[in-house]
Amino acid sequence: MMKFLSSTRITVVCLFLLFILTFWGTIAQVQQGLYSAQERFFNSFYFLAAGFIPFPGAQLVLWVLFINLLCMFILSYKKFFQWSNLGNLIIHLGILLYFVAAFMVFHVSSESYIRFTEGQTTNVSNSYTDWEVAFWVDTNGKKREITAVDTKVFKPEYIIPTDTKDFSLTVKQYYSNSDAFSDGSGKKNPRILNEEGITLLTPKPILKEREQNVAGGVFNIKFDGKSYTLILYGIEVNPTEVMIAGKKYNFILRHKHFPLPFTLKLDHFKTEFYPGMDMAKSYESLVTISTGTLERQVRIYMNNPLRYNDYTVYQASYDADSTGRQYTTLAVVRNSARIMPYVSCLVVFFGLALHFLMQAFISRIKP
Amino acid sequence: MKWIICVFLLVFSGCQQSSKENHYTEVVPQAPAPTVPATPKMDSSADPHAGMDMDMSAMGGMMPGLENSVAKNISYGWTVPEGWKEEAGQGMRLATFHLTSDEKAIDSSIVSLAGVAGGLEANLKRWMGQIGLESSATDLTGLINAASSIKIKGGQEGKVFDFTTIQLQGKPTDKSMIVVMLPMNNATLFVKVTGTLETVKKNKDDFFKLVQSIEPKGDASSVTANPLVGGDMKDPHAGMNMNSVGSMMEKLGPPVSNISWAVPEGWKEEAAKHMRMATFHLASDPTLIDCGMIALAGAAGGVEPNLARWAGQLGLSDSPDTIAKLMAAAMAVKTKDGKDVQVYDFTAIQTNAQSTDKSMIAAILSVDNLSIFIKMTGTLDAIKKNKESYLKLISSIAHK
Repeated sequence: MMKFLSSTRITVVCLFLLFILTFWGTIAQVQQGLYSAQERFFNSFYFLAAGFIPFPGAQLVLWVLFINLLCMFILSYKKFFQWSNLGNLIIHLGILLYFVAAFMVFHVSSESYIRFTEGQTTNVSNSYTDWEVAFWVDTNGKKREITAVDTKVFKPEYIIPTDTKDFSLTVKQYYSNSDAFSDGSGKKNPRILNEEGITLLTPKPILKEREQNVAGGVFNIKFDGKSYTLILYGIEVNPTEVMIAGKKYNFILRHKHFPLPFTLKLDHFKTEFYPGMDMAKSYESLVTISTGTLERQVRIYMNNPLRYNDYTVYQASYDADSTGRQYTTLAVVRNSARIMPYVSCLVVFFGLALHFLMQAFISRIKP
Repeated sequence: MKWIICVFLLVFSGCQQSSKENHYTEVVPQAPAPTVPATPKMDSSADPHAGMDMDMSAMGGMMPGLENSVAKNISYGWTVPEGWKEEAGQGMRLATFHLTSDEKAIDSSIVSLAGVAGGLEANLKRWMGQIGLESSATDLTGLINAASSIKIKGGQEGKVFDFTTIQLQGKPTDKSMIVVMLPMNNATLFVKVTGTLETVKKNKDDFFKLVQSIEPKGDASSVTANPLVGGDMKDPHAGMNMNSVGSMMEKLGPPVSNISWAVPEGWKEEAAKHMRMATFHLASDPTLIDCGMIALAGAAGGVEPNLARWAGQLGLSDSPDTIAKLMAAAMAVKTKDGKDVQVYDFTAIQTNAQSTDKSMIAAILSVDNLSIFIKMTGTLDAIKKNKESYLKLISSIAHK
C-alpha cells in the first residue's frame, strides 16, 4: 500500500493537476469572481466541471501529494540517511515543512478590515464576507460585552446556543443574500421585532463577489413565555432593541467581528492627489495603538504596515461619505504561522546549498 | 500506514465547524469629528429608515467596495443648533444629533436616500406607524395637504411633515416626530427629529434652524430643487411658501379647541383621534357612513385641487369640467355664527351611479388660519339619506 502511495506517477499526476487547477482557477476568476473561484478550485476537495464531471480540487490534490511525498520519504529514508545524501534529506524535509506551513496558514490565518474616521477608536475588525448574529445588553457604557454566533452553521430550526436563560433564539430562515421589505401598511406588528420596520425578507442569488451579498435572517425568539419573530438584515445601522427580563437587549446581524488584542484610534488621515487629477498619489493613516501596557503613534502607509504579534495592519483604501467625511480602510491580517513558510524556504535553501557543496567536495576528492 | 491514517483523523477532527458562541468586549463606536467637506470618492450613505423597498441599490455603502449611486458628488454642510451636539454620521446616516443636556430627549438625523425613497405616502404611513398613529387615507391626505415648505441655506425647498400637529389628543409622553423631505436632484434628504410629543415640540425651533442651515457642497451645480414626487400626490401648495420658522410655526399649530358643534339626531360622536377633531357615525349602523372633521393649516391646498382629489377617490374624472360641475352644484350653508360655507355634494354629479357606489359630501370652512374639512363618505344611497343631518351639523358649527 505504502509502495503504491509513494509512486512517482502519483507525484507527476498531482503536479499536472495542480498546473491545470492553477491555470483554470486563474482564468475562472474573471467570470466567477475572486472569492468563488478560490472556493471552487483551491479550497475544495472536488468540484463538478461542466456541472456533472467530478474534478479534484487543490485541497485534495495537495493532500495526496503530501502523503505521496511522506510515503516516499519513509520508504527511502535508509537511502537518504547517508552522509552523501544529507542535503537531499534536508531539501525534502523543507518541502514537507512547506506543506505543513501552507496547511497552518490556510487554517490559522484570517483577513479582515477596519473602517473608521478621524477620532474614532475600535478594538475589532470586520470580516469581508462572513456574518454573525451578535447581541448585548445595553449598559450605556463605553464598552459592551458582545455575544456573537457565526452564521455559517445556520439552517432552519437551528437553535442558537446562548449562555443566557433570558431568551431562546431559533433560526427560521437564513439567506446569504437577501432583499428586505416593509409591508407598506405603516402599522407595527407587535409580533415582529425589527428596528427599521422590515417585515419580509426574500432570498436573492448569491453574488460572485461575496462581499456584496447582504445576509438576512428570520428568527424565532422566545421570552416571558411568548414567541416573537425577530428579523435581522445585514446592513441595518441600528440594532433591534428588545426589553427582556428588564434588560435592554440589542440584536444585530453584521459582518463577523474579530476582537483585536489592541485598540486603534485614527488620529489623522492624509490623502495626496496627483496635480489636476482625481487619483490619489498617496494616503496614510496616523493611528494610536494601545495595548493596555503601551501606547504609541504609528504611521501606516503603502508598504509600511503596523505589525503587532501575529497581526499585520496594512493601509488598504479610503473613501468618503456624502458629507465629505473621509474614512480609512485598514486591512488586518492575522497569521499565527507567518514565520513557517520563511523557515521552510530557509531549510530548502540550506539543503540545496549543502547538497551542491557536498557534491562538489565529493567529486574533488574522488580520483 | 496506521499512523498516517491517525494523522488524517487528527487533522480533520480539528477542521470541524464550530457553532460555539464567541464572547468579546467591543468599544462602542464613538462620534467622529465634525464634518470636513471634501471631495467624496465613494459614497457610503443611504438609510433603510426612509425607503420601503430596502434594496441593496438604495442601501449600499456599508462595506468597502459597495457604492450607492445617489448623491455621489454632493456633500452637505450644516450648523449644529446651540444646545445640540452632533454624533456619529455612522453607517448610512449622514449625521445624528442629540441635546447636550439630555442625550435621550430627542434623536435627530440627516439621511440621504436614492430617488424618491419609497414614495411619500408609503413613508408617511410608516412614520405614523412608528409613533403609534393609524394611517387612514384621510389622515394621509390631511398630512400631505398640511405640509408647509421650508427653504434650506442652499436655496432648495423641502416639505415639512409635522406629526405633532395631528396628535390632538396626544399625551406629552407619546412618541412624536417631525420630518423634512428635501428633494436633491436624484436623491431625497430626510431630516428627522423624534422624541416625545413634549420634547419634539420644545425643540421644534432648533430643528427648523438645523434644516435651514443645510447647504449642499461638492458638486452643488447638480443640486436642484425638484417637486416632491411620490404615489399619486399632487403638490397642492403652489404659492404657499413659508420661509421663516416663525410663520411656519404659526401655520402649523391648529387651535381647534374653540370650535363647537351639535351632533345631529341619530348620529353619535366619537372621540378626537389623530388629525380628526371629531368623527361621526350613525348610531343605528356605524358602518353606513363616516363623517370626519379635520383641521388643517392654511388653505390646505385650496378648493379645486381638493375637489379634484376627492373626485379621483370616488373614481370620477378629475377634469376641470367635473370640478366646474361640482362648484356649480355647491350649496351655501350658514354656520351658527353666521359664516358662509360651501358644501360640495358629489351625489349631484353622480347621475349614472348605482346606489351602492361610493359617494361623498364635503365642506371646507375657513376659520382664522385654518381650513376645517367636514367630509361624509359612504354609499350613494347612504349619503343621500343622511345629507339633511350633515347639513344640520354644518349649521351647528360655531367659532367661539
